[in-house]
Amino acid sequence: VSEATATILLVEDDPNDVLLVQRAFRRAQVANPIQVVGDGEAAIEYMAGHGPYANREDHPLPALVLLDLKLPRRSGFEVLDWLRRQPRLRRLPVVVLTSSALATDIRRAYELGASSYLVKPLEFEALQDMLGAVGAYWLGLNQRADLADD
Amino acid sequence: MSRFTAPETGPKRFLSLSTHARLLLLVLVAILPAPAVMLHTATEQRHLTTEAVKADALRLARVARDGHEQVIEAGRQLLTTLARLPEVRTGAPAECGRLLARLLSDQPTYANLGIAALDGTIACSAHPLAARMEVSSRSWFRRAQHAQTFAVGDYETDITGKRAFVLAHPIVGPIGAPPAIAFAAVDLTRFNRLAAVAGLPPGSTVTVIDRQGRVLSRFPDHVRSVGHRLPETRIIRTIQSRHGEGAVEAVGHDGRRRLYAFAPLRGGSGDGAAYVHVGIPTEVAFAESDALFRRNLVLLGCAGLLALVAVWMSGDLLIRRPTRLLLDATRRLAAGELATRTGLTGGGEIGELGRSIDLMAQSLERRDAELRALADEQVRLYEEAEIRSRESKVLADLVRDINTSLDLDTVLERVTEGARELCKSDLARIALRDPDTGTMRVRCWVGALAEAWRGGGVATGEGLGGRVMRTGQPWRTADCHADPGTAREGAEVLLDEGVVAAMAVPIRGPERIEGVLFVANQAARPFSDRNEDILVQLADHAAIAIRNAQVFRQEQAVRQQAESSELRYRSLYDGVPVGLYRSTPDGRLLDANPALWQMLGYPDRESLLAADAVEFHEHPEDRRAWQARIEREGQVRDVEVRIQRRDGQLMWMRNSARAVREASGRTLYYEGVYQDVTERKRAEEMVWRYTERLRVQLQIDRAILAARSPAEVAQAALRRLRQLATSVRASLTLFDLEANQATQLAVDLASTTALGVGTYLPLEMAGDTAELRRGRIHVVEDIRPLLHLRRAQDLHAEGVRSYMVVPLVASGELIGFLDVGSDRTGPFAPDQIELAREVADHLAVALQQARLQEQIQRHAAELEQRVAERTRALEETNLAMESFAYSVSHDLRAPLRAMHGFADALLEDHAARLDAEGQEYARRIIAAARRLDTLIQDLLAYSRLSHGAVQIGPVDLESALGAAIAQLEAGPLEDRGELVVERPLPAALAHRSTLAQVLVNLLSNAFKFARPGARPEVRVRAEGRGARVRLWVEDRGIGIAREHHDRIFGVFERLHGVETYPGTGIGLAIVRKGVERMGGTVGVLSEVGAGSQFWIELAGVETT
Repeated sequence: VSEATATILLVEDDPNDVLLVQRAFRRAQVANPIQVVGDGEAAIEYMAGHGPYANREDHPLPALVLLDLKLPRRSGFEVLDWLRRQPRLRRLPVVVLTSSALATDIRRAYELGASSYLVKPLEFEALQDMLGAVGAYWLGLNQRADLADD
Repeated sequence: MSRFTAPETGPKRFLSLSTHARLLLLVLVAILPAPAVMLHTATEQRHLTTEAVKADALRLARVARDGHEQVIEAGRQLLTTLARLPEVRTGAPAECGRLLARLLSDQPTYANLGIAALDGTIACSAHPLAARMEVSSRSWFRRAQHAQTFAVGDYETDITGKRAFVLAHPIVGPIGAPPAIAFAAVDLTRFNRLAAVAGLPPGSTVTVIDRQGRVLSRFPDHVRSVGHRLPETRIIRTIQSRHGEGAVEAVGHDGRRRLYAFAPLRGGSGDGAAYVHVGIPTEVAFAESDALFRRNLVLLGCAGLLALVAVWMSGDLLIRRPTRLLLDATRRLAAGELATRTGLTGGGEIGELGRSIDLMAQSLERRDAELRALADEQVRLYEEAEIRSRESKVLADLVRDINTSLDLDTVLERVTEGARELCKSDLARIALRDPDTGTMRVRCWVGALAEAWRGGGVATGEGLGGRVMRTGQPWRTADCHADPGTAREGAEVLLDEGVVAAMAVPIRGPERIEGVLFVANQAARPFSDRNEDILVQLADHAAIAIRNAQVFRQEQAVRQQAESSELRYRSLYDGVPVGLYRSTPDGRLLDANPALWQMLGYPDRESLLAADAVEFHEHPEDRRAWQARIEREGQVRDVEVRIQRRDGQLMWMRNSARAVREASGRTLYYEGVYQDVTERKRAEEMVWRYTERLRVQLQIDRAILAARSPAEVAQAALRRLRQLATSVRASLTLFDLEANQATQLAVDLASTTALGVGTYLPLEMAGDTAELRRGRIHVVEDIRPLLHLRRAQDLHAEGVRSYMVVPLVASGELIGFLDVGSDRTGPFAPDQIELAREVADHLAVALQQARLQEQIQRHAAELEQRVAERTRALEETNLAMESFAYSVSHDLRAPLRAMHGFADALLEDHAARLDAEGQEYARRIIAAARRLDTLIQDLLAYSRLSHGAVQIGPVDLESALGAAIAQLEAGPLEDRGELVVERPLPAALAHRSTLAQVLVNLLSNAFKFARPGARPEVRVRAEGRGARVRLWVEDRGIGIAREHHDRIFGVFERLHGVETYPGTGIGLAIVRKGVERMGGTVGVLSEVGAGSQFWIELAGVETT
């Protein structure tokens, strides 16, 4: 039961990957809107609603964050660390989507509060299956916490 | 001690007569009193005889007198009776005459009987002749007429011619008749008869004389001498003077000597007008005693002769033979045959003498035995001293050896051999602390060593070495199996080795016990205190050497030990000379044997005896003390005294002596024994000095060992050196070669100094440097000529008057010098120089070692720093590698994914607008991207294996295989073929994921390289190889040529084109790297066309 309006924030600096991810979601029939930011700093500003992202109409709070780790300006870990220290935003599910399969990265991501860790597969088919499952699970099955103030 | 005193006079001059002559003389002297006694006896006899004869004579005289008086009494009665007769009264003459004649014939006593008328005429008479005689003048007539009573007349010659005296008695006639006088003449010849009857000795006389000395009667020559006056005037005088009885010796008229006894006869007046005297000739009286005397003389002569003969005969038996025995015995004793005995047992002086000599010989023999025992004791002492000196020498050699070697193995070998040699043990071992593990390990051994000791260490605890390590004290046992303290750890091993007696001493390092030196005997030969002492010393030295060797393993230092004393102890006891002597209390020598005068350096006995014994003593009071003691205790035993020889040389003597005293307790002389113990004393002193030096060395070594810095080392050694060498100042100067100067490292002196540590000592005060470099000691016997130098003035001010400079040479290099100052000018004693040199040598080595140690510490620090730098660099490299890998895995794959993704999108989304060739290209892009991705993944895996941590643990091969198969099944391999697993599979020591990765590669290869057209068959099996496990992966594929067997495990090694058999060429490299990281090995058996058998071998897991 996916909520079609729930926004996905894709934090990805590689435009190829952005295209491929968007295509994979599309082909997997996940129709949710996808907001894309290209670096860690932009990701934080977006979620904080600062600067160019102050308008929540145009830039609504996401229901799911797909976070690459190797990012310009601020790394994915920094974004994760920042996010998990925000009073309300900390409840936001964050799925790490990265090409690194290094055990150290995986450990650190979970330690910083990643909700899931996915390695970008080489095969597009595999990516399509993967993101289809992500949409079905995190935007459908998964019960989200509200992000409003107490 | 006593003195050797000579008698003041020479020996007594004995009679030069032979024993025989002396004996005879003695006999003569012995019987000399006998004749004197006999003479005396004879005189006495004579005197007694005289008295007896006198008594006899007197008795005879008395008998004569008594007889005389009886005659008178009888006459008085006769005359009284006559006076009453009528015939007489009436006076008829005829008738009267007849009567009287008749009476006279009956009375032979009388010479005549008669009656005289008052006018003096004879009225009647028995003898008719007398009738005409006129008697009125006669004394008897006058006295009777006058007194009218009985009267005795004088002696006179009777009318008959006979010598007689007349008795008279008045007759009272009838009334009116005239009175008359009756008379009777007594015949004196009766006395002669009396004398004859008395049995007088021949030649005796019985004489009656009157007062005038006229002989009245005489026996035996009556006729010749009667009427004459006697010439014996002495008798007469005596008689006349005594008026009574008496006796006198006088010469008779016939010239013979007689004894005369006399007694008065009662004459007519009753006053002894006549005397009778009896003379007995002396020769007759003395005849018997004289004969006895003569006989005794003869007997005495005979007896004397016999005695002389007997003495002559028996002298040989009783005196000469025993004397000869005594002589022989004493000569043999003097010759040294102390077992000689006289064998004389009899009584008497000679027997006594024999016994005395035997006792003396016994005493001598006992003393000799004691001396021999003493000598044996001395031999033993010397042997012991020799053993000790030998041990000390061995130890010194050993110490020098181990100190000159800095090679640990050599040091250990020498120490171990030395321990065995010194303790005469069967086994010797040395265990050292392993610097890495901290446990003790047997590092060197002599004799058997059980296998158990070789691998394992010796732990601190209750075992042999363990106890020593725990307590730090030496420990030994006579029987380690019986000793409850040992029968713990390692006891069985010791038992197997046959060890009975054992001893272990610690090797002490500066901070802890660094090792254990162990010796053992496989027989019941326990170790002694001495063994322990020497082993401890050895261990202490070994500790230094081992530490040196450990520290300076690569350095070859030469230790020059100034240990070169060549003590050669000859056998000190080749016949200890024994001097015997006797001396007087006032210090004169009475006698001395040759050994004594030879010992004391005198040419002969006489010159020794002439010397003053008191002066033999080094100090005269020694002799007084000695004498006081011997007088108090009666003897002295085994006192050691210093005696001066004749040449003034002093020698050590051992003295035993006793006082010989007479019964009163006065000391007659001392007799004693001297024994020359100079050599032994010298040897003892040498041994003492030698061990003392060793001890000092050891102390210095310990001080050096305990010290930390070179300055501390020097300070510790100098303090000890200065005290021992009794110098005022000792300092150590070191050359700083780089700075080209010398500075004092340490100073030790009693007072404070201007020349303190750090000051500079001018080299010109140290003499020729070249000489010093050659090891020569520079001695300045007087500092004054150097006083123009300021430092010399400073030294002078500190009291230094002379000094020596001892070079410190280490490894042939002059590193400094030691200077020792004395407060006296003049040369240093050899001892001091020796000691200084030893200390300098020790210091040189120690300082060199300390320097090298500092150097090595510096090197170590540098090395450590370099290691740290390298480590840091490595860590940086690792970090770089990690980031590289990260980049590879992250960045390299991103474009690949894009290539793959967009090629895929082309095929999917735009297939309609692409022709077949375009679609084929897109597919090739996808394949190339896929291959590159595999390559990257394999490279990452290989990199991770090379750098990542691999932790080994027990892994079940079964589960690892399962994981590998699961991965394979998830993979893209199309044709799986058949897999056969021979179960069960064991466990091995491995890293699970690495092992799985290895198996994946092996299995995929096995399936991949199948023969074309054939279905792959892969077999997996395991086998145990000892403690290891080998896992085989076998296929029946194309096989690998032998020449490629080594290559195939390299990175990027491929034997086939990618088209035929796809792959990155990294698979087997991953296999080998992975197995090696798990401590295993890999290999292959293969032939072309015969399939391949790959194996990996890992450590097995012991199933418990």
